[in-house]
Amino acid sequence: MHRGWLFACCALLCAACAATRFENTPLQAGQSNPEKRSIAPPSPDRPAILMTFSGGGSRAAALAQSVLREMAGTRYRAADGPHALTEDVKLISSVSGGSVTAGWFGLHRDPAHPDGDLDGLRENFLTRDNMKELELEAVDPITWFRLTFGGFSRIGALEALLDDRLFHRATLAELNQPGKPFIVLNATDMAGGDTFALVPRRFDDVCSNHDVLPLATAVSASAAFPILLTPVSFQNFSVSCVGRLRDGQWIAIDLFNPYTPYLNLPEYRDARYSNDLRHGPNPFRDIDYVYLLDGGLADNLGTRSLRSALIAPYDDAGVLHAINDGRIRSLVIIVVNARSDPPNNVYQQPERPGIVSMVKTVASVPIDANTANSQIALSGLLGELANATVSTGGSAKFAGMKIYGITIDFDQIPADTQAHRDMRDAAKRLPTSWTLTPPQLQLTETVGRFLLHRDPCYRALIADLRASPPPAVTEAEAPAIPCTTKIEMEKRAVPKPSS
Amino acid sequence: MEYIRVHFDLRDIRDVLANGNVVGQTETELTLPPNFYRITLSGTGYSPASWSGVVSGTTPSQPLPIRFTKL
Repeated sequence: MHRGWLFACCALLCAACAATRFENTPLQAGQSNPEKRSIAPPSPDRPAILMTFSGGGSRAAALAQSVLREMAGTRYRAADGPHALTEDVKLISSVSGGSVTAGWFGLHRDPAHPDGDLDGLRENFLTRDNMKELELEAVDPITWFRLTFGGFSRIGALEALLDDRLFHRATLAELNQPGKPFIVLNATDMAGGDTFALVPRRFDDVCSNHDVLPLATAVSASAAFPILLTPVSFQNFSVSCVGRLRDGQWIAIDLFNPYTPYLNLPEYRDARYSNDLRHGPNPFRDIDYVYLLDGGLADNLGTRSLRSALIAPYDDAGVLHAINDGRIRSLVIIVVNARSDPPNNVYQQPERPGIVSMVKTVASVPIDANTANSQIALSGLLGELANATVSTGGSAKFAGMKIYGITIDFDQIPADTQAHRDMRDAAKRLPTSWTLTPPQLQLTETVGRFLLHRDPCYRALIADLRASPPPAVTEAEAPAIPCTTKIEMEKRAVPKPSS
Repeated sequence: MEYIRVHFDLRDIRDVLANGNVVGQTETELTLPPNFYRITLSGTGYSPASWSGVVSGTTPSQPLPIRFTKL
């Protein structure tokens, strides 16, 4: 705690002297931001797994890692051979601490490392005292000098740590490759509050080169918790852009018909944001610079980008196109929410809470409420997609598609036994920090595996694939609850008529 | 979600574009979020050049039919 305040004080003292360095580079004449990844499974009997990783510092990174590790140990046989479930991860939308794991997994998952070399993430980041290094950096006079004269910013300390420990000067080009999962690192545009996903499409909007941005910078943008860290700064190069951009027809149509604001408000807002960034006609905001903070400020689950990937016709992931073409037969959505519930004494104190308590509330309650709303919206969307798998006409290629909606959340730890209550109480005390003690890391990993094993839809997926998961964490029986999204789909599906 | 079915020619299956983005193919039900769409086909040799309108209030059993003819 003392060290944390020391870090904060050093950082704040330098706030006035932080120089602005723009991290992005403009598209040159003829350059574009091509999307090289694809969403559809290579074999129709393999699932397409789409995930979101929430924020929450190393707690979130570790929880996401534990879920991936469990999936990596789950093996099944498809028509094209044996596989681990991690080979079927097609997209991860992540925020803040979750972006550390998403970035690592996107960089390292390949045919030689179907698990994304999760041991490397554990060894180089999750087991290390990262806060100590960040604080040493903050109290180092050389850092102060760089803050004052060298164009270095407080976010630079986190970027340097991530680059040294994990990413080693890798750029987003190394994520944007055929066979790689879509990694959607989400930041928040601090002026407008919009989610700024660091994907090729959004780089088009600011006429900037996606592939050359360092991965450490992109993850830092997603994790730049306000006040303690400075924003990652982008310049908008869209005025007199000479790059080759994606077709913006959808933007113009959405903005200049009277129906979209009423029929599809999220898409209208997205079109308006793209139009503003492109300096298009009748702008809502004039945007010359974009300052990016922690993605959790806008959406701490990363579900906005997942929703866009799932159903927006203009999204590069093209999930809707793949569903309509019948190329996805099993769609798996896994939401990993690392929200904890650290102890406070407000419930026990008879005095009115003071300014510190209120500041803590302002910093956390709106994010938690926003997260809950995001989760509800995603559940509704999955229900709609389940309905979309129904086709009374019989010729829809998506008829009979299976949908598995899986959520990992500390709130799901049961209170039925003393061991579970102890696990729950320890989990809710896990701090939001870039350092976990060995027992905290072990607990987080245990909880991740435990909750994944218990999830009804994950169990249904394992059964349907005839997969072999690793041994369960505990001997406790999982609740006999059906997978509701799958039941919904099966109940309403109408068989194809014979032709 | 909403539902459309774009009719063209059973022997000449084309990509269907909604507001410039490919969302599926002709002669099969397609699902889309509700919105105002400009629907076109890949390639040339069809009429009209585009269909524009609101896609809302459809059901899986009653997708909105959109028709193009071969030139």
